[in-house]
Amino acid sequence: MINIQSLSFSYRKNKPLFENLQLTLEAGHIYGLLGKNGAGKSTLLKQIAGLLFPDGGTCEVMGYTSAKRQPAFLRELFLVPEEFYLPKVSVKKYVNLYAPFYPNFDEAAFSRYLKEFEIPREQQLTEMSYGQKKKVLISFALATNTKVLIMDEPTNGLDIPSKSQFRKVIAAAVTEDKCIVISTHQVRDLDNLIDSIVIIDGHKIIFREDVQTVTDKLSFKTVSRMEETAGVLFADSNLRGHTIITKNTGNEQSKIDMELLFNAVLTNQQPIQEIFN
Amino acid sequence: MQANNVFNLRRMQLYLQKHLADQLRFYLMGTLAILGLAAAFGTLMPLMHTEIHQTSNIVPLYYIGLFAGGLLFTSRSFNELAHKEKGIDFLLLPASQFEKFLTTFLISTVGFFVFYHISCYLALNIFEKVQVSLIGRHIQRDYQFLSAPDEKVYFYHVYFILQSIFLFGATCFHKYSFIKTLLSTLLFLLGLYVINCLIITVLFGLQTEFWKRSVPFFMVAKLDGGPISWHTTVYVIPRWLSDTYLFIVRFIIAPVFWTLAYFRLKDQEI
Repeated sequence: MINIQSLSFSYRKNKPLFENLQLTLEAGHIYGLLGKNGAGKSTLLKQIAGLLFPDGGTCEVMGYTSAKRQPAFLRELFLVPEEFYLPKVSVKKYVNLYAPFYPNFDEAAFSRYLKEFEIPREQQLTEMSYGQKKKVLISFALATNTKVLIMDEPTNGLDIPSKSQFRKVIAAAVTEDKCIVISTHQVRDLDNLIDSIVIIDGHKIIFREDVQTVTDKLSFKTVSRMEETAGVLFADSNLRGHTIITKNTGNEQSKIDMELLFNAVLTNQQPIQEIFN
Repeated sequence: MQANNVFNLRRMQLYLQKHLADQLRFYLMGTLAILGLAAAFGTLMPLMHTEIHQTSNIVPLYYIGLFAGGLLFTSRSFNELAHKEKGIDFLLLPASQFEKFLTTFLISTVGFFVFYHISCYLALNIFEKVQVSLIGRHIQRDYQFLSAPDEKVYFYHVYFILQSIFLFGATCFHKYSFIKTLLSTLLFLLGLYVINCLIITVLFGLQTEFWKRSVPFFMVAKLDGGPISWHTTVYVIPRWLSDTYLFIVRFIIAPVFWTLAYFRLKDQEI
């Protein structure tokens, strides 16, 4: 569905952000795009949406060259940017203005999502807080039923109940023909939501695995004494002890700790990659 | 069915609705300002004992309004691109770049032109009515607008050329577009003038200051003789070349800049 081949891109000469980046994302998944600040998460999402053009290589989405921004492509892709714009109209008017551009827009689903987020439909968008506006945009994005849904830091500005509401509506919205890509640096917000992890660092994708494969091959646990555990790939100490990642040798199923995995991949990349190759 | 990715009337209509909803406040304020100015001009001037005998008396004001208003309005086109959030909304809305361009083009070019003339007509009629009621004098309609082959028509050609340049400028400069386009245009014209001086120097030498007595790319008045008596020889470009210039002014420059503006819009990144 999203096919990026040999992508190179830089904002400034001699300072490449991406070099020969390869990435293929399939329908039916919720991808979590993780990376440090400045790693290029938002830039990669913009490349997918066609807001930035590659310096080299190709970026194709559903067979369309994203940079061409053709209407047939745009009506099947929705981007929820970190900083977004909503016109000074009511929610109802917003739907009247924007929904006709999306042939699969589901009005009933939109109402359901708004209800889930506790947003009154008659309210003016200008009278809403940032978080409320974001919830309107997320609801609208989901209701468009586009094949590709991209979200850049969607949980920024959402309060704690809204974050769990967000996870609930996203999980309900994914279907076999949809590809959802969520970029975030707040990995805990995506717990139990994403089914594939993409980590971007040092100009390229350094890790791309589905959650099931990760938990098949790695074990996440908390131990009180590090010395008692052999083959620790990464450890993080906290008040409860040490949260560690080891190779999953006994086929035991553990719950993925994405923050730990992210730090492990960044600091101890080679041994982890060897396990997956 | 394969979607038409260039132009679809229904889609453009939807985009126009969306655009108008977005810009409603600005357009309403602009409309009220122009109509207000027109009405104020038409009412206050006769009350201040300013008489107008013919329409040609107020023509300079009309042209100043047309050029200043039209170019300022045009330079505000695509101002969505000055803001990242609005720019994303603009570029990712599922309408073609052509439909987005055409909407803005129609509003800034045709829309403003028509609206400005309605306002001027209104102002003139208000003025006349007030003047008739005060001193019983009608305004003589002695100025035929848009009349060819009268040279007046070239005011409109120049207007549309400048309008197209400012529309192109709006796609190049997202902030302070008017000032930046104006400065760029002046710099470009200065460059042309320098080229003209160089060409004249190459053709006529450096004996006299031809550049002071030339119409760039059209005519040179060469002073001969001296030191006691001088005579002037005028060199004018051939007719076919001046006709070509006129053709370019009338039919080429504005469409070229409109086309450039369209392709520049397609190349926008955020």
